[in-house]
Amino acid sequence: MHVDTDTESLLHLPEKIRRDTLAYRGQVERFLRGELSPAAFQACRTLMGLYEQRKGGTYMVRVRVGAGLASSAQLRCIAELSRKHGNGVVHVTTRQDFQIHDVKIEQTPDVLEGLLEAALTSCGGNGNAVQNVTACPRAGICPLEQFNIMPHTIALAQYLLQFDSSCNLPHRYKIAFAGCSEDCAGACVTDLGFYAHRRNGMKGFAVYAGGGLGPDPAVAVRIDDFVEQREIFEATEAVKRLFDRYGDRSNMHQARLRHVLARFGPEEFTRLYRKERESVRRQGLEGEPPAIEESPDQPGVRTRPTAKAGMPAPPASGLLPEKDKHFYTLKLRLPLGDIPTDDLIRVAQIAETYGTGIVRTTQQQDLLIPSIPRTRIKAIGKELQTLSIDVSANGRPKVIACAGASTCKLGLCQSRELAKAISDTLARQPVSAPDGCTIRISGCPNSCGQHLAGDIGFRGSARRVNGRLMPCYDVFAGARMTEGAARLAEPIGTLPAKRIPEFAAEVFAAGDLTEDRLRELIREYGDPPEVPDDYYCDWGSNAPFSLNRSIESSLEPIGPAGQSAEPRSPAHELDLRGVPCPLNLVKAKLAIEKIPVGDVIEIDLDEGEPIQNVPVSLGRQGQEILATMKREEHCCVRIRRKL
Amino acid sequence: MALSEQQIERYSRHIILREIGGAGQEKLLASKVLILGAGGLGSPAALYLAAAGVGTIGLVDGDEVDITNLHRQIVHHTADIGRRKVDSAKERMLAINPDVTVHTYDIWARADNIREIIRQYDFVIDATDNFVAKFLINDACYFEKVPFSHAGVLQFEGQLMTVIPGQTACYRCVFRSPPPASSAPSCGQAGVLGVLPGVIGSLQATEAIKYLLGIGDLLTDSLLTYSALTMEFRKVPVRRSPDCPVCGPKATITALRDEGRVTCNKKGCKC
Repeated sequence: MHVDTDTESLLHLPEKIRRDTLAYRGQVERFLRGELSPAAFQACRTLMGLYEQRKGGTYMVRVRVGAGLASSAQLRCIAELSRKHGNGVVHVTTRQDFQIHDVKIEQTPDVLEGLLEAALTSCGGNGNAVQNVTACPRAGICPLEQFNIMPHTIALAQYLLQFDSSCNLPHRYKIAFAGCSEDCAGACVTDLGFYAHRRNGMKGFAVYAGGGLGPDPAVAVRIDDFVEQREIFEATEAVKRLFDRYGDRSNMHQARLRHVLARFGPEEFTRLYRKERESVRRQGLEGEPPAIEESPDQPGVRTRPTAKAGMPAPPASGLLPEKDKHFYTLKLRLPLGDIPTDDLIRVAQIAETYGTGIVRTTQQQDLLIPSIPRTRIKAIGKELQTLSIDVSANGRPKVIACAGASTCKLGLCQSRELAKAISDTLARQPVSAPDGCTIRISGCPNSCGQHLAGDIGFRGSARRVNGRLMPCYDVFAGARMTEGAARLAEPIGTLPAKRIPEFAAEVFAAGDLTEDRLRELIREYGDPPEVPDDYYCDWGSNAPFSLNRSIESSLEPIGPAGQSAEPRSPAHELDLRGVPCPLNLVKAKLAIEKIPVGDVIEIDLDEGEPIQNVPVSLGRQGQEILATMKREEHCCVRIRRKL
Repeated sequence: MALSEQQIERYSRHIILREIGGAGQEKLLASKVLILGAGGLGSPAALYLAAAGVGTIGLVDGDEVDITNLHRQIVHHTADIGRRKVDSAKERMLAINPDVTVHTYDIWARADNIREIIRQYDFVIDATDNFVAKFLINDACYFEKVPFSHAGVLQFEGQLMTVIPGQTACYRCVFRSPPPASSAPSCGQAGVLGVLPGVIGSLQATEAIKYLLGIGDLLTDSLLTYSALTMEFRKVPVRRSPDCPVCGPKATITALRDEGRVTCNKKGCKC
């Protein structure tokens, strides 16, 4: 039974998405005319999956790719939109999304409407919403899977996208499906994770919740031993209600589901889930959950072999076996997860010609072309050479990085430039990396590079060395991502950014990734006897490294010029981002009451009313306002307690 | 004692005030105020002190809710008619703020019971409706050295004074002793504008809070008179009297005694 490029198995977008997307154009126009305030517009564009980039006026669009499944037509659409409105390079994310970068705000409606025509959307790509529902990228074709979880992933995403309540949660809500305990989908470190299991011949899932990387990282806990496959909607609704009810909306830094788990502990958290599940069962689900197609076959998976057995074995690099041994999945390693639009169009073509027109995105920022008959592998190898980038792995570890400080407003360090430096260094020597090995780099603690999940992780940081600021990375190792036995990587030391490529080269020369060996190497590389000047510059930059990288920085100097270049190190700090007026004033006051008179405290506040009101109110009450500063996406006020 | 997230929100409008802040709110939560009388004056006082988060509030009243109370005693509702006043008031206070603790004393204040209750509190509000009780409270607060707010209302007029026993003028410094029973009408006889005790009782709560926080100027050595019809407030300066029988140097009252019927609640007579 041969099924061609089957758009029916891809994510169908509910009518609501269409409506919201078409309404977005009007919102942009009103904003550009000055009729909609920046704060109000931010709420709109955030829910449409847009991210403001460091360069003012440019945006990144995060396109949902349900279960990582995209058709060749969709690939072409994304490539065209990137070419026309973006920077011509498409990025694959660690949650299987595509990203289009450098889009001007006035062109974002064109991009969103263009995506809609290919049944794609970026709704929920940002904001307090249900984000992309991910799955292991080889679902349906992986020899190890319990059963094909692709239909479940798609059905759940489709079900959730139709509700307004999916965009009105305390914070982001990330869901993943894993076809087996090996957990290529990262279900153990996400808000809600499903692991496929069979019980008494029935297909179902173990349910885990409350995991997450980023600030206050946590491994998910099991809240349900087994739900039958048709019960996933009920289970998801129960967790969503738990999140809605207990997520802390007053403080966005404590608002994720893992924070709820931390507050209650696993037992109480599980009990609350059961309570919600009971009430969902009694009340019934809102709307009709879509039927889960019980097809054993994948969209586009050919079940009839087209060649004789006994053909020569294919070259090892980049090829993954499938359940059906006559077919292979081709893995295209994308350096930094990026692919130029021309190459993406070629890939779409290759998938149509050699595969079934389906392409999959992976959590390692790569692309997969599934279902390639054994006989065509040599030919496809030749096609790949026409791409402008080298998509072969050649035994090297995959280096995954977040967007980094060059484009991301929140980044501390240039993670992509480090990734490139590591890759270049490793390309120059023989390397021995275990299969599937990853180096993960996050430019800051927000962990978009998922550094706690990599075989070796790096997290951007800074240190004072000889009185000067140096870009560094904290090093992590020992991660284990499997069902029920997951473990986050532990910190094992810190390295200057500039030392890392050599460090990586030495690690992978022997392929010894044991913690002892890594610690030994960190000791060796971590404390250079001499610090060359360029160590104080980050990768990809000639300017001395600094933390005040806001390009709109309007510091009111509190001392001689140059003092503003110092990193913040007041005696006290308070983060009130995401806290509305007047609660932010209340909390600021409470914090000030606790510090000794004469001490300085630095308080982070949102733009708009918070920064306009809070310092003035505190000043009127007799505190000394030393400076108000603009940072990446927020503001900051420095205060000395006088009373 | 750190404030919980809920408390921070509940009391946010207090905390914003320069004079209160988190420290002030914590003080209120740790304070204890006794209100004698859950009637016209006691109603607003009880409600506002509960709302403000005064941590412990005592309520003394031996009466039950009557329909004639309802035009002014806003802590009680129609459904409470027949109920013990302290129970009805406590329920309403906790509904506003479950944070506070309310101790009810379903009794009439008398010389033999009132001192041991008063001494457990930081501040007392005299919300009674008769002179005998007022003098009793004045004396008891003097002996226990607990500051209190005196107030009284009738028809369209009210009065108010705060007393720091041993420091500022007490009730007897100004008014030596209760007037003859026949000369002073009760509310049941003379009538009272319903909202009048609402105004004065709220001012009593204000004085209590100011005292607990240590802010502002208390209404000491000063008798405030309020005339609702003319919309006039007057502050009449008063002084400690050197002849005061209870707080003066030649005090003749050295022990608490009942100077007559403490309450107007004669069977069949409803105030």
